[in-house]
Amino acid sequence: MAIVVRLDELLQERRMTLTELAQRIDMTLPNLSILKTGKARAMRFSTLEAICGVLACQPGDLLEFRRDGE
Amino acid sequence: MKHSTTLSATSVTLRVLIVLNWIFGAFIFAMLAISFRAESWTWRALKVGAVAGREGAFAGMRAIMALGIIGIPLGYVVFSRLLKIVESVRTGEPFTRENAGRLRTIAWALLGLQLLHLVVAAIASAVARRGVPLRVGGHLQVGGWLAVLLLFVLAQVFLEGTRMREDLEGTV
Repeated sequence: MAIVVRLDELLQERRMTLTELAQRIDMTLPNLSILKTGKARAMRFSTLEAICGVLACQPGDLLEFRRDGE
Repeated sequence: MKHSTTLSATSVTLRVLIVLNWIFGAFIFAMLAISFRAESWTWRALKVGAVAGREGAFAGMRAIMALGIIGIPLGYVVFSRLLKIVESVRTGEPFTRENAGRLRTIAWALLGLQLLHLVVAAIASAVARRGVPLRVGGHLQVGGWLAVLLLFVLAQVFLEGTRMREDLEGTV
């Protein structure tokens, strides 16, 4: 997959669990897990805004573009 | 509530149609079998008098009955697939790849039925020319052909709808 979601690393850096983030951005844990495991097909701006707000990061910190083979 | 009632009524109607379709098939099969065993009785049942050339028309009538029997499984395909689509609407998941496939299958079956109708109409008119009055709707059914086209388009719409639903499900 070309777009890599770096949610796991951001959570580790901030010592926050996925469950805690799910509660703070008012999202279900299964949905957030889909994002974390890179199985999501698309992401709403509202979700991106909420995650960046709680984790105090920029969209570029959460999402990374990798070319195939990188 | 009204939505559910309509679907329930449709579901029951389709189940009845499936049974009636088989009964109709059995009836045509019986008529075909009888036509071989009791020719004079068949003419009386069809209320056809001693018309000149009626014997020659017999083969044509048997062909129509045989084609009618072929139409029975096609009718079953239409009703049974439609029933499954209705059931999927009731469970709240109509936009699936299975339903798109079912609609395409119904379209092919309906196309088959339309072609059968054309052949039957051609045979009936040939039989009628021999002096035996047969009324099996020889005119061109524009609605039927339009339904075939609509079903093929609808199948594609369902496939697109399925893709959109899958995208929505993967959106977080």
